[in-house]
Amino acid sequence: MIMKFADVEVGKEYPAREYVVTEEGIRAYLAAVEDNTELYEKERLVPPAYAAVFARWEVVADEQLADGTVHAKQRFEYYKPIHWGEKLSVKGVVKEAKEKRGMKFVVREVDVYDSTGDLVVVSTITVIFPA
Amino acid sequence: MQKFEKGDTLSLPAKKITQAMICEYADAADDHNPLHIDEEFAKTTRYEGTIAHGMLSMAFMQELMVRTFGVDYLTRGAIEVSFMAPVRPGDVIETSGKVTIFEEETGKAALQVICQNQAGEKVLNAKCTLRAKEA
Repeated sequence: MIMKFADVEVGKEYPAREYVVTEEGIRAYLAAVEDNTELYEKERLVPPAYAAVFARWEVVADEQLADGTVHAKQRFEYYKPIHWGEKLSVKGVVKEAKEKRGMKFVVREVDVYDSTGDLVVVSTITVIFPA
Repeated sequence: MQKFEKGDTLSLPAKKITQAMICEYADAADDHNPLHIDEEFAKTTRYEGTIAHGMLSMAFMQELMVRTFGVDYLTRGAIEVSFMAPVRPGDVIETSGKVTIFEEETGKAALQVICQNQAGEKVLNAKCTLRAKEA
């Protein structure tokens, strides 16, 4: 379903979904961004930028953005390294919806936990809905 | 941990963006928005052609931080990025950072990181930080 600004509910929580970071997925990602940093291979670590894949809104919500939606800002905070093969739990919450200078901003947060329940990544996504 | 002074600059070798790279990223990130991969569709948008995913260029900034700070960035790091201008196939992106805070004792650090294209236009702007080590 295509999400409209009027339908955005601040405070709405989206239940946890599972996401497994696979070795195949990490290798394909590193090849695509042309990153050969040795650390990832040597310690089987997930690159922080891969949070763009598992900590995005589409992982927690079955909502499509309307054409013309702009991804204006993105923040990631990291708390613990993630290893290849780990099973993650990904939750979402709508933090803010506001109109400013005629633009419709929505801020969403995606919180990612590892299998021990520790918080590993927080992703804060700011989008501008089409007028 | 490597030592830095305020004002030190860091950079990555420039990377050339191609449509093949954008398509490879779309597959790897499972983000097949036609704006990135369908030239005919993208021509009908205000961008008048395909553009790279913003997160593709953001990955270059994260690469710079991990090459500089290693695992510390995975445990204490953060990035806040603004997408300023589209990155197009054929663009050559230079990623660089300037140290604005570095405290050896606490491990706290901050860098202003930018991606710019071959015309010198800033396409992404980010503040990257490391929180202080826990006592």
